[in-house]
Amino acid sequence: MVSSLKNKVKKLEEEIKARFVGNEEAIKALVLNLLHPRSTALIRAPRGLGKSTLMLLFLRGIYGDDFTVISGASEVRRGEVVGRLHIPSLEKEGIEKVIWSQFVKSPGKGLDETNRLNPYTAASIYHMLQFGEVWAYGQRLKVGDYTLIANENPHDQTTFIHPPPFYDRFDICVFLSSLSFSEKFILEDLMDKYEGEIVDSMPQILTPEELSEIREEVKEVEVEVELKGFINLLVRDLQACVRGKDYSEIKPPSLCEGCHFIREVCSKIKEGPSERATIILTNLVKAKEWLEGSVDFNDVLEMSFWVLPHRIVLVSGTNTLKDLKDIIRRERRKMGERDTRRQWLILNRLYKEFRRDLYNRAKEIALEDLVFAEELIRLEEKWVKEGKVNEEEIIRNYIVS
Amino acid sequence: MSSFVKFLEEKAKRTRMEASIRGADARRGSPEQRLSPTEFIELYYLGVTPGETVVMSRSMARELEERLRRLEEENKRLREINDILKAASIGLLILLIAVVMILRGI
Repeated sequence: MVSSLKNKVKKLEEEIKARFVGNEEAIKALVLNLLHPRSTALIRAPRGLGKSTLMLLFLRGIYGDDFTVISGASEVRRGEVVGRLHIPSLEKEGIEKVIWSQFVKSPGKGLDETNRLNPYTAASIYHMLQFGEVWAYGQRLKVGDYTLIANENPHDQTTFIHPPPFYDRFDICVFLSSLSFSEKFILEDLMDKYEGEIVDSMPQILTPEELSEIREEVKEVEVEVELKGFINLLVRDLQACVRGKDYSEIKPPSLCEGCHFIREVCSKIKEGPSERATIILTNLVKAKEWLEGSVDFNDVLEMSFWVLPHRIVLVSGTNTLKDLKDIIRRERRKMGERDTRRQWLILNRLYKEFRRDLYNRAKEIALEDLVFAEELIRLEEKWVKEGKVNEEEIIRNYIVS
Repeated sequence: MSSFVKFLEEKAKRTRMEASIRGADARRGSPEQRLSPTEFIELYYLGVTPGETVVMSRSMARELEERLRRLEEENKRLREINDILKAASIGLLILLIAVVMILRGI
């Protein structure tokens, strides 16, 4: 049964790849992201690269014709997104009865041109993504499990600037690239093959019930503790700031002047990712383990390109993906250096007992690794209380300025 | 056990395992492997059989120097006590012999 469900997911991916040229990584990301409850994905691309087509291919592959798409490009009202009042009930009986919208009730949801959604509609969707419920006319409806696939062209002139927390609610964000010379021929062949009806030709591969079953199974997958540690380290590296940038009015790079860690990755990041990044990376790792039977550190780094771009504000701000690539390359090297220094072995020993020689070594390591320093500072606080180290010698004095 | 402690344990276990593999390679391996340096921390905390060369950080060397100095001082102090105790033992032995001789009327 399990292998038949896996085959169906693989078949879904194949059928989409058979209709959508190139962008294989984006398709892979979207497939893996489908496998956990309340899956949300954002497809970003300039006009005409197939954002809506890809969204519709996925929705048809799972829900057949039973899905709802709303478009930010049209004048979307709250009644269409959430619910409207049943006028006869109000007029005849004075009762405020809400007719919930198809978008809210449907487990397959599409959001076309998300960037054009007006702030009121975006706020309703935000609430649904955050709390799994919607409100209209003082009445609440709990929304069940769903798949929401959205798309947007952020450079569109009629773009509304949605707040970062809104985008944070999207599990992943994938970018589509334009077709290469040879890929354009493949697209033309596909258009001929399907007589221009690429989306209509997409068969339903999975049922919503099968998808629920898959999501239950994926939820039960155990993630190895080392892999968990790798995810947590990666996210913490991108969040940590010895000068507390989260609550500072001044942001990097100005904040970093004179800081001991100025050459580190943290100085390249204005706003780090939220804790959701950890949760989503874990969900994707579980999904890959379930689907392919293996997952490693390189997979996590690859997944970070889907999970981080819409959750992070970089200092340079010119080309997020290119800068993120550089940050991930540095992270890969940093993880290797951590193992070479045997710093977790040392921290493990220090967790068990205080040893002066190991503490001195740990202080040296802390000068090279902020995340390690944070953990050492926590231990130091305990040791100071126990009288094992003096206030004057602790590492906090050297790095917090 | 918290997941974090479990993570540290797992990492420590892996480091120990890798170090012991390197140690075994150094014992059995080619001259290059035998000559490859071993980190002092592996030698000291993981009990790895070292190669021909052992390297250590400056702070670790300082720490060792300090420990040696303290041990030398402790050694000197204990040697002085030892000398006093030796002298006392000889004195007591002479006294004992004298007492025995007196008692026997020699």
